[in-house]
Amino acid sequence: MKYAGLLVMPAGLLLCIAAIVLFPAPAPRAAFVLCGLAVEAMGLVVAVRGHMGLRPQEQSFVHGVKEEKRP
Amino acid sequence: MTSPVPLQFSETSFALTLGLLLLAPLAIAGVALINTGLGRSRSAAQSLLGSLVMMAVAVIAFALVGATFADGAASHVFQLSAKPWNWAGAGPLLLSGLDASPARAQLALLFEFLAVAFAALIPWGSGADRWRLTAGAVSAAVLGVFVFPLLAHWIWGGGWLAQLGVNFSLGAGFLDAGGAATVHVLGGLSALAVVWIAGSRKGKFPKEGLSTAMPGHNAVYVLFGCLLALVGWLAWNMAGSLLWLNAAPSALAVVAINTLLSAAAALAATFSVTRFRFGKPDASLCANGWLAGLVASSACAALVTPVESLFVGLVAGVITPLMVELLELALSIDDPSGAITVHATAGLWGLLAAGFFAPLPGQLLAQIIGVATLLGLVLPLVYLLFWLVNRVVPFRVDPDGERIGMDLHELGGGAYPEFVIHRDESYR
Repeated sequence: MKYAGLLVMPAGLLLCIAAIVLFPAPAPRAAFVLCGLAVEAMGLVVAVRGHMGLRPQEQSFVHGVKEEKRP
Repeated sequence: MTSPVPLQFSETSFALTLGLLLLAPLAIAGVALINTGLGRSRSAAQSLLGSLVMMAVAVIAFALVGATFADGAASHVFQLSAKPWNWAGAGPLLLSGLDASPARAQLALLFEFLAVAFAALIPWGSGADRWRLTAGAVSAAVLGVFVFPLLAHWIWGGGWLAQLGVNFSLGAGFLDAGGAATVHVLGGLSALAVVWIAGSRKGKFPKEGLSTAMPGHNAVYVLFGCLLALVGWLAWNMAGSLLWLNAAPSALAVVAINTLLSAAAALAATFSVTRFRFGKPDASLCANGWLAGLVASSACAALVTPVESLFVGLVAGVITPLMVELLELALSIDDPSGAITVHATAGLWGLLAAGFFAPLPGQLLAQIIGVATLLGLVLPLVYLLFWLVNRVVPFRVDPDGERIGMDLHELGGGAYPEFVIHRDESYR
């Protein structure tokens, strides 16, 4: 989940850049830039929820291996 | 004030900027002190030594490699849709020829050296009590070699964000005179990546019930750090206005007043919110509010009126305690220094506020695109790089080190050796 969210965020930036390149008129340009920002926000929400989905003891990695779960 | 073509520096401006830049490290000192005070006493020496190490490594990495990509004189450019996209600097390696470069370029480089040190320091506080010194140093090197230089070039070195005004008629391009984006948002987002990778402190989020409160060990450090930071921030914002916005020296008093007003309004707002919510004002949250006001002012102190600056600070001060609570209680993000809230959130708000209040058509859209770049590119990039670093040099200390404290585990001695503070340390 976290990685999916982090992958969605650059897609939002690409939307913003495409908007300023493709739309010279202010209104559609602003609309598409805001859409790009909204996509980034969605990606951030997904990434944060992905982090929340991990149990606390699973959130950290020691030497690349997840810590052992508590009984 | 917003001319895209750098003006010639008079000798007065040169001396003034240099003097201000010599005061700017006080902001770094203040934040380092705040980070130390907000951590535990058993990790205090490691925290302050880590601040120095992070700064040293970032500065060396920037000097050896990063300054080449950050350079504003020569650039790598590609064409897209008949527009030039300036994406990286192409300066000389190892700072060669620096003494022969114009005085303004030398001052700009000095500003960037201080900025990269500051940006690398910010995530250190969020990893307090569990982030290993070696891993922190490698992460600072990554920021100094790659991420900061690109961002600095895009914003301060005539890169594509700075050229949004020329190429796409978006105001004066993305504006960030005081380093809200290049220093604070970069540092705050790096802090988020560190917290995600290193995880929370042991016992912070128990299986059942609310998160455990782990208050800082020295409120005096924290509050004195706020006073130190104010001096540094005043210098930082004024020097940035001279260098990046071509402000006249006569405009600097307003910049300083706006910085002070933003911090004051933020403190008053956080004081009121915590007083209302908890019955008494919370010292550490008030310190975070003060700092959030300063961070927000970094983006817009040179672009807004004093009344607008009060509003910017007020919003930053209201956001800060609410965001700290949201991160800790709702999102399970353990950020001991509050860097994600103070530096990332307040920095983003300041950048947007600069767009709202700047009297230039299209400026708000330019600021939004800058914010989109920070969220859409910088955060995933920093996370990816830190994730790779973590595979080679693990971020998190082993459980025993976390139990006895980072001072004893990493340095072999505590910050307060004459006092037995923790019961478990008395066993040793």
